[in-house]
Amino acid sequence: MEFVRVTFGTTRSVRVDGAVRGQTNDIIRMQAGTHSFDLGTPKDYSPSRIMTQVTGTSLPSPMVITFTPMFAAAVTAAARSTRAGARKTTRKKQRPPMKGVKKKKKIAKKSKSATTKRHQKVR
Amino acid sequence: MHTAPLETWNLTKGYRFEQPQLSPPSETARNSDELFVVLAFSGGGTRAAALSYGALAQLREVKLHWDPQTRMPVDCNEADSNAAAARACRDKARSLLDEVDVISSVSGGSFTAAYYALNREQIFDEKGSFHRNFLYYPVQRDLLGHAVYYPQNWTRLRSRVEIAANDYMRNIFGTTTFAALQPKGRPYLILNSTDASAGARFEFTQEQFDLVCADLSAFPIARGVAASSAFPGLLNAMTIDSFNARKCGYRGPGYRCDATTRQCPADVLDNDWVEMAMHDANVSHRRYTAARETLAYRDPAREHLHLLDGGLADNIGLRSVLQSLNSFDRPLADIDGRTVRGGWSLLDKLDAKEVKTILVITVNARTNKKKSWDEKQAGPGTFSVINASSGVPMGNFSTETLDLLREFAQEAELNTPGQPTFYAVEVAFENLADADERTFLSGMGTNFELDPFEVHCLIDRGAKLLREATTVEGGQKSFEDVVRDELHGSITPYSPYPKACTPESGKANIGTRGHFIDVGGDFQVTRGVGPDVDDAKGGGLLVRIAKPNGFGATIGYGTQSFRVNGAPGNPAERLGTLGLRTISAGVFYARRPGRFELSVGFSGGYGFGTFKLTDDARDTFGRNGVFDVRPEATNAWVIKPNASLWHNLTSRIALNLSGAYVTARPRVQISGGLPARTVDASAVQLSTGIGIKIF
Repeated sequence: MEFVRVTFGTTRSVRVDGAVRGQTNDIIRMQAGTHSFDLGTPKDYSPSRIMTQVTGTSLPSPMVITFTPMFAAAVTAAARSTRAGARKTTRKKQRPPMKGVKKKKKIAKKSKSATTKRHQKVR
Repeated sequence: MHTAPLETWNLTKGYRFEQPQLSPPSETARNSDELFVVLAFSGGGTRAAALSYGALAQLREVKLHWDPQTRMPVDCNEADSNAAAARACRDKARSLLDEVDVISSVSGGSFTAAYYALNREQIFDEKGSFHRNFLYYPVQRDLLGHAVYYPQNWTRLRSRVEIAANDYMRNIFGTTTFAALQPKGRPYLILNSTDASAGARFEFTQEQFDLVCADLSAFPIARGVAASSAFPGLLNAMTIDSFNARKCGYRGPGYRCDATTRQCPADVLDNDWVEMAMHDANVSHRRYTAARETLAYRDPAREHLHLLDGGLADNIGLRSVLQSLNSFDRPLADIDGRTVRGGWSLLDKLDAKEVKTILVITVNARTNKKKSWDEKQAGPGTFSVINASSGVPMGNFSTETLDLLREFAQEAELNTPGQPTFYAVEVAFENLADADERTFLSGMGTNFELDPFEVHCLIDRGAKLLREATTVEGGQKSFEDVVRDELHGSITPYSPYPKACTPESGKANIGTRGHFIDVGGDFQVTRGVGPDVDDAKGGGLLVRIAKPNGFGATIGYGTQSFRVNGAPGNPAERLGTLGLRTISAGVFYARRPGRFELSVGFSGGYGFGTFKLTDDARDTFGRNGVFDVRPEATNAWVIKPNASLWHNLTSRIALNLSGAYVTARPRVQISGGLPARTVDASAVQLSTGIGIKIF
């Protein structure tokens, strides 16, 4: 059993591995291993996500993960650069290295569109 | 029987823990997350089922008073200063059984767990199907009966588990599927079995079925129970189909990974625990293994899964509870802007402060029979070794599982000021104070056929053991203390059955168990009724398959030697000896009053004849100039109506006395001597023998 405290200027919900598991400054218990931390929306904090291996903690000495507030301008700039980065990454990813891989992606796309029809947006 | 495919992966559909309501809409809400009660029922055949039933019955007698404000139990006297308010408070009593949130079970314990989850209070009806058709019913005899008696099952002997599932459907659970559990709310049922290929725990939940794109809603509960209790050897593995090759839009944990190579993309998704856990081999091997097991189910090359008794992976049903206490790794999906969680995680509830008190009750029916192997140089025999090779690892693994529960209680640092409270108790025979009772209860066999006295004892002592159980995390409190001090409740002892459950009282009260399959030998004395044959003697072997009251079958082999008269020149003198080696099969109808069994039946067969001349007859032929004498007897059909009286001396040995009328008409020919003639070998036969029960 591991113990993590996530700190931020104000009280916010803490998302661990994609779901809200507690509040900032509270102790959150979790299994040892790799976990991802963020504060959800609004994305007015930095870094946008922390993924780290949690191990060797205890209730008196938990792992402390710190997010810092960002100013509005910085938020906008960061959002722009994040979107640009994301586009770049996506384009790079879509380039099929091999024919077999391309086929697989087509199938995946098909099944994704079927899922979307049922109004289920998957993260 | 086929498994239904899952059309579309959807975390809001199917039998899942996160139900829309804790109790059915028709009932007053009577369960809360604040007090979270988990039951784990171990394997051990009827022994485990009856012990679990005793614990359930005792939980029903624990009364709490509910405070709608704190959503926790409250002490009525403390909460209200005036008598009317205290009375109103007491009127809101509910039982601790109503607060049970999850039941995780294995093998024999799965019968009690599934029946309660499906039928709730009806389980306590002593005339109901759980008592009548399971607890006090010789289930295994019935199973064998269905396998042996019905020819349509002979071709299905390789799928004996399906014969068992059909039997459970017919007598206990009906054709109800897991869909019927959905609207019932808590407790959430987790039946555990073992994936024979991976050796991993396989639970009957929609999250597990999602991994193979199968629909649990259409799956009969009886089949789930049969898979959970499919002990290797007695029953074969239950096959369920995997539809991964067909796909179902699965977007759960590990969906981007290659299930065949167990490789995941380098850019790890932040809401996919499998992708993250694949990097944890050196940090949390348990989590890493869980991720690999998850991927193993996604392999499209696995078209079928073969499920065995859950006891092979976890014989006390605690592993799913431990997983839930230690981890919040579970499927997630964003649906209409909200995060929907699959699976169940107590750790999630602890972190979200939804839970204030957790109570885990493990009912462990493990036995500790004294072995006499070490008193002899020869050591255990083959059957004992086979038995030990499955039982010993299961026992050791169970001990380790309980240690993990203790470790959790210590590591999670609960029960400290400001933290939720956690109590775990174990109901186990070794906690009985009386050594004789311990010997008696832990010496019971693992089967689905116990004597009513044994079932009474297990129910009664199951309740007693729960009342007296101490918490495993520190041994500081008894269950009664927890109820009184922490839950402000009261316990009425549930103790309807015998005062003494010892080997001595067992001897006095346990009737002889009915023999179902006997093998035996007998000695037959035959008295010829016609002029052709005289008295004879012989031995025989018998295999007998009997129901206590009903039709049975026999297969027999007998040897008979008749003295045949009609010597040359003196028809009254002995000519020779007719031998008949008979293979026969028959049916009978039996009634069993007490230790006796009376049966009337009819068998028929084929006798292989031999004939041997007496020396006198041979001399007579010689004196008449006939030297090349070759005596022969043809084979003949044998018909044998009979009546038998059996006396069951012990649970293993029965004595038999039978009377029969045997009719056979072989032809005897002496080449070169006499013309061929038919011998009437009709005779009255009396036989006595001994049968040894093999089942």
